[in-house]
Amino acid sequence: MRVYLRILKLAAALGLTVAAGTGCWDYKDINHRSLPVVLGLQTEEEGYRVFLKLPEPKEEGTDVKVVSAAGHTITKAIDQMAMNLESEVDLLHLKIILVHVNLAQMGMGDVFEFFMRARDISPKALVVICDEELDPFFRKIGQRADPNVSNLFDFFEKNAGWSPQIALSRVWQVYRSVHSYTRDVVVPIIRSGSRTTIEHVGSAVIRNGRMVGRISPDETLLFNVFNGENGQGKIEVMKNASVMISGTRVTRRGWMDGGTPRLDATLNLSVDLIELKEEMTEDQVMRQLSEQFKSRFDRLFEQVRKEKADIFAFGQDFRRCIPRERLRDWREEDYGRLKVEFRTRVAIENDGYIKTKQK
Amino acid sequence: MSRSVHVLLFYFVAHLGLIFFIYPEDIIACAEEGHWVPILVGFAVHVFFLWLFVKGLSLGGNRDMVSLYLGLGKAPAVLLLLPVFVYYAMVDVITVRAYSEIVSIVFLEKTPLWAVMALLFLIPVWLANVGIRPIFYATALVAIVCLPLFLFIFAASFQSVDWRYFFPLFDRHYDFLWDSSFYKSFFAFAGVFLFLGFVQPYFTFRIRGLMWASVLLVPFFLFSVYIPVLTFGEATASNFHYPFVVTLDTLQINWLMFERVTVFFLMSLLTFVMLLVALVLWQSVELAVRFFPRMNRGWTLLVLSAIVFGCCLRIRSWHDIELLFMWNTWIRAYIMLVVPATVYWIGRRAKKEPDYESISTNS
Amino acid sequence: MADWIEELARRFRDESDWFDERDSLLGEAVRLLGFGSLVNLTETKSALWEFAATMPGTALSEKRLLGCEGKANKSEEAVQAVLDGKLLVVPEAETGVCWMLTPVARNLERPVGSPNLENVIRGPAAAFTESVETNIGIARQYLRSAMLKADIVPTGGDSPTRVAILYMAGRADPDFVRKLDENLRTNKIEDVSTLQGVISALGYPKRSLITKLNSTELPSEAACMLRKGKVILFVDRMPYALIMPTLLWDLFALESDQNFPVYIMYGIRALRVIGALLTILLPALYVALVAINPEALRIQLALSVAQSREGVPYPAFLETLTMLLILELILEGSIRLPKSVGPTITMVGGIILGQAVVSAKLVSNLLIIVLAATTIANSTIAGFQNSYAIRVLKYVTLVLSAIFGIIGIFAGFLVICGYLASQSTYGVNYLQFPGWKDEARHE
Repeated sequence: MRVYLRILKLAAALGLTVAAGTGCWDYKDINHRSLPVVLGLQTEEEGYRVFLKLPEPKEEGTDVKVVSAAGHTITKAIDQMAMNLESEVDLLHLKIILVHVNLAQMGMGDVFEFFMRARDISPKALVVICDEELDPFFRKIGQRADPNVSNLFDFFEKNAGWSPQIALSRVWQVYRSVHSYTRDVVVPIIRSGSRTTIEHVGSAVIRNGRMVGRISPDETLLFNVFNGENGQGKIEVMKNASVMISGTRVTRRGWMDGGTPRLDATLNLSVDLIELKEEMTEDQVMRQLSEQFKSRFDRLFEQVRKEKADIFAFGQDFRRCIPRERLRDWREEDYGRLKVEFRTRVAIENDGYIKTKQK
Repeated sequence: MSRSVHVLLFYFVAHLGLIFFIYPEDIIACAEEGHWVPILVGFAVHVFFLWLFVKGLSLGGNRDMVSLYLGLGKAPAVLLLLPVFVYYAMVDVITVRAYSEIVSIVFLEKTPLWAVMALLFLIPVWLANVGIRPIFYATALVAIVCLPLFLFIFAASFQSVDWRYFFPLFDRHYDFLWDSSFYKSFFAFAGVFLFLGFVQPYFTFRIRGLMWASVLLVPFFLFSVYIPVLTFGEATASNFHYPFVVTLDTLQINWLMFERVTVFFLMSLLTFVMLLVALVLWQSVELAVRFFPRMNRGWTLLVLSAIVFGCCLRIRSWHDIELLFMWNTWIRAYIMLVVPATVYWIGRRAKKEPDYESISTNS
Repeated sequence: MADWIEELARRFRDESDWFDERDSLLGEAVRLLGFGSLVNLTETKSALWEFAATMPGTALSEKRLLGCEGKANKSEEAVQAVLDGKLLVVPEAETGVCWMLTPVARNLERPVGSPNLENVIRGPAAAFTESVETNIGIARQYLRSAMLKADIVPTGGDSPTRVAILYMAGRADPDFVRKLDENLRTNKIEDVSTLQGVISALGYPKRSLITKLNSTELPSEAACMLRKGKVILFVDRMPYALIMPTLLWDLFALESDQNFPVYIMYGIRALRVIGALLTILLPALYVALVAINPEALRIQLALSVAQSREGVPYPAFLETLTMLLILELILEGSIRLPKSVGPTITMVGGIILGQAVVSAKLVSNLLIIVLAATTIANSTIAGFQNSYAIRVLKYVTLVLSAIFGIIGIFAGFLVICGYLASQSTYGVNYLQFPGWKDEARHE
């Protein structure tokens, strides 16, 4: 009996080692997988066309390949592509999902439902809208690509090419806005540039998964600032002066006034003075900047209110005052009636090497 | 305090393992806003009956639970403890099957389910065979490595939280008491505390330490529900099967070498769950052997494990698991309510008798 | 002359180192018997003459024999005595009297030198030797306490070995010592000349990976362990102290750490803990991240790993296993190399295996880095036999991680913890915290 047990244990140990060795259950090693970084999506007659930008590690550096396929559903298209590739497609490292503007205008709710359900695609991937046809876009990108594959998403990396006018919305945030009562997102729009790889042409307002409007890069800065991003580094140009923003903070408060929701929002800006025409004083600069921001905000707010998209998530501040059932119709009802009082307080932190007049 | 460390540590980490997977889904399903009320209500019920239980044990002379029941006579003891045995078997089946499912969904899609279940089950079986003291000592060693990892990721999960989703504080009409999801959520409480009735001859603990450990668990209960709600909002969070796991997927930690921290968090907790399953198996075997002393421990364990694993293999889909949860509810109520009350009553009765002997816990 | 003495003399007569001399001591004729390879006869004789001359009395008696230990009454006693290196003095006149003397022995012992297996930075560099008495003496030098008890127990079958048990009364657990003593005394079968023999004599399971006997060559360590309440065994002919009970903490804490300032000591101990964890986890992590779960890596890292593996023909697990095997061979071989050949082999191992095998695309260079780190981390653990244990345990996590990925790593870690927790020495669990008393002693 003892000997029998010993043989059994030995056999089990050997079996385990063999099982481990055969790389069991179809797992492929990392060098047999393609790890695409960018996924492009556009609609075709019967379904979707999917583009993938694949880095191919070679011994010296990395090559870039763009493949595409069409199918009824996204999964079918990806499957089609995987069939024709010599390595397995692994979507877990996707960083950017590039959606064609037509698809965005038609409504992306289903697409994002698919993204969140399938664990293949990381919910942290950035969502970006592309203003031109994806085929030529990818071709131009592919031509310009240097061996470093990451130049498309370096554009959006905070410690690389990002600047505060570029909105950053991830898949899960878009999905959240599809279901949320009080929150909508803003997604950057890009196209291939003439001198640089890509060009940022503004942002799209996405309401419940559908694109309903466009805003300019300056207005996107406002959105970012309200969302808690630090506006540091952005240069604001006025008629007679330029400043660089070094810090932003937004405080807001909402309350019900009878049946009308009202909100007070204050933007605290700290700026550094860069250029100044003569005879301008600091006070004048601060006033000009205030007015510029206020008019920008009012314009933006009117636009999004007409589009019934609450990109600043003002509805959140009313969760205490408005009951949940009424909040369900926030976009249709109360949002239209919302009155927002926006103020900018500017503090000039320093004026460089040269003195300026106060008053 | 140092004397109770192993028991309290096990109590703490076993609860942690159970909280973060299935509990948030049930609580989010049973209320639309003000989730902290169902959480605290459930917790208060649990703490009250826990106190009854340990008070009864200590009044009964710090003996283990089975001896207390045997004081009533063998037949009533068997009858009263049979539901415990059945519940333990069901807990094993549900836990192993549900967690294997989660593991398979979250990171091991290509591995067949039986292989994952084999891993998650055979290790606890081996641990249960080794004995109860190794389980507790192993818990201490594992906790030293896995708890910091867990706490770090837990702290990081507050990254995208919007505190305004916390309001409104109260729901206008609370109907969670009539919702079956609320009672399903008691799964996170009921499976663990009974082990306190079995540890007595081997380890001791102080009631005060236990109460403090329970209090320490409250923020984890609250935040396991609130972090998904605060990140996604209730409307979105109620769509998810495992809200906390999805929230972990959205974490962006830029300076870490790893991309997806979900797997580390889940595995730390799964290690604790495996230790819990081992202890539950050991308790079942202990029950069987105490009542029928002629049974061989090793063979009982083997037979029990075979039955449990067979049941796990028979369950084909998540709906079957939900069904098992339903059936479990009544036994769970028995475990949570009747057993502590009975133990308390027996303990008080034993104390009044003139010739009860207490096992000293001072050394 | 008694029969049994004749018998004894006849038995050993053919040995070339046996002497059987007739001599005259204080006027009486005596016969001196013994092994010349153990007894320094000339010195002994001159010492005996001198001593006998100074003692009062005229006849030959025990009192006048230097180093006399009594009479041998049976053949077995006398045989054991000569084998132990004693001198038998048999007076011709009386029959049946056979005195056993401790003579001047040949100097066969190694002088107290420095340790072979352990490096000491900032601490005393004396080491234990093979003789039990010398070792007890050294121990007493380092721990001058009246509470130190030493007990010599002969154990074993036909050639009993002397084993000494040292402990501090009042600190060591008396039950533990009693059990130890019992096991040693009742052992009549096992030969305790190797550690495996000692282990089975003490009743421990033979197949455990964890050594139940920590060994140290340094008396300072031994003294520290005695003060902590542990029990030490000295086995004759083994130049180290065997410490019981063993705890996991012994892997990380050495007494010589306390020669450094406190925070540095913590740092060093933390480094050892990290080293142990890295040994167990690093190869498994490599296999898991490369083969099963590459989604856990950052994209840049994933791409560079994929690049480094380009062209390697077999799966990551086999690659790792092969290289680990080669590393184990190198480690094992380097123990036996004479000092003249050693550096050459090191060069061969480093250059050929490291560089050439990567250029030939047989393994990826990331793996070489991982394994080098593992081997170095393995060596930070205190205790030579402990590092063997950790070396074996890392294969557990490796195999499980190759099948299940990162989950396998954690599962393997749990298995290792469970295994360590199941080891105990006479009821003292391996994972107990040092200094904490166990709540309820339970076998």
